[in-house]
Amino acid sequence: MRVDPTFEAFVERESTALLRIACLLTNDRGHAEDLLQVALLRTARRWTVAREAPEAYVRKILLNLSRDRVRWLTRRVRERPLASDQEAVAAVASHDHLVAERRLVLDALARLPVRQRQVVVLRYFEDRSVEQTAELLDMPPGTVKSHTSRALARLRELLADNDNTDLARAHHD
Amino acid sequence: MTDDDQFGRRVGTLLRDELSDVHSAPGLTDRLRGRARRNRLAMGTGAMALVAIAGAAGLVVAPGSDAVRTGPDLVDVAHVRTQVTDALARSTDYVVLAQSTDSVNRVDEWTDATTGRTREDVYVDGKKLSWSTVVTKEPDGGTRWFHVDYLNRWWSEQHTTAADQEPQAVQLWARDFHQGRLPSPDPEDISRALVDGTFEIVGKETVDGRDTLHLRLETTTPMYQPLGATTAEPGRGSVPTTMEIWVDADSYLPYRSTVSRTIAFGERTRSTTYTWSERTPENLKVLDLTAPAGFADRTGGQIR
Repeated sequence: MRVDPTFEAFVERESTALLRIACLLTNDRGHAEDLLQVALLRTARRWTVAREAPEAYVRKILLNLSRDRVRWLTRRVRERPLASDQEAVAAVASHDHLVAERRLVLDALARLPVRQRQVVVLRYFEDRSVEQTAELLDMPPGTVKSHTSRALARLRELLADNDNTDLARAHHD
Repeated sequence: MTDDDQFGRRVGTLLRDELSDVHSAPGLTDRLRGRARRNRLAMGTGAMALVAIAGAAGLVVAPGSDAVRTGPDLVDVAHVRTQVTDALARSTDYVVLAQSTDSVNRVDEWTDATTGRTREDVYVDGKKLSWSTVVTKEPDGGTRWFHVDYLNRWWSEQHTTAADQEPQAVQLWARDFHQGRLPSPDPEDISRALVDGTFEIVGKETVDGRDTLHLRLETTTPMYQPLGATTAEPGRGSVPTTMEIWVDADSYLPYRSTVSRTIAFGERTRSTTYTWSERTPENLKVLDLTAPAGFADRTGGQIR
């Protein structure tokens, strides 16, 4: 099986950034790696088309796959995490406030509806413009703005429930 | 910068910090190769049911050699059947618009499978919007019908309990309308045809710029009862029916279908194109039908 060297270079260059996005979209490292592999395989199969703009191409697949996964999860018995994240956060919080805050943000992000989560990841984790986000999510810029606004409001609410975070204190007044 | 932007940027910074030690494992391309190989092996297990799809690429075509393929994908009929059936089972995730045309009518039908609400817009001669009907299933098992007749400028609303028959007017209308129509190409019917009928994969095709798998189903459908019949006429039997379905190569959701069957007046074919939309409030609005201003209220058969 031959592999286009440009695809290989693309995987080498982008896979960490893509894995991080997948982690945020799934909130699970194992599922994120699986999602990334599926997205890369699909990109590989269409490489003659995708290589024009592979970053956008693979991101669109990742975003669609993450949405499909959420739909699938809503129809099946939920898996339980091996360890309680809340306990882990509480344990960490006592001696490392910043780490705890990051975990709380990650946890709050995971509780957003999938579209809102995707918008937050693209707009603020990836620093993409409203227009770029709209293009990747195949939705009008106005819809991106409304999802962003709702997502941030919800994040504020969720973080305010854990009012020990600087972020909640700074932005919930 | 707005307060929202500042908050968002701070969230972004915290997320980047949190994930700064996440790195993809080395040798990812090798793992992709292995995964691609396993996928092909898994598809190759049903040797008796294999159909070679010409033109399907392997993992990646080498640069400058677009015509070079690493070997055809082998698509297992049973695998495709499962994928399509599973995809159709997910139809509750979408508002599905099925736009159908045959030699007589054009019908646009939206279905929200989660709630069971449907809307049907019928165009006389395929051109002019003639009437719309929204059917809503009530929590108590009853059904609400909202009908707007654009040609005659009236509307009506009817409600039946679970124990009731369909309202007579609707029953008659439905029977008239369905007389001679082809089987509905909705997800449920396609699923049934996949299970009951003979099924083959024609090949990979590009339809409207979209990669699809072309499937052909040979099945039978009940013969329609004549107008005026109040019960099914015994022995009228069924007629052979062919369904051609193009499913999206990635999602396996139907993109297009044609249904053909031979009736007394020759063969009729209906073509349907499907649009699968997310169940957002915006997309569900299409099911909120209201009567246009100035239309008469004929609820209960009386002009109000």
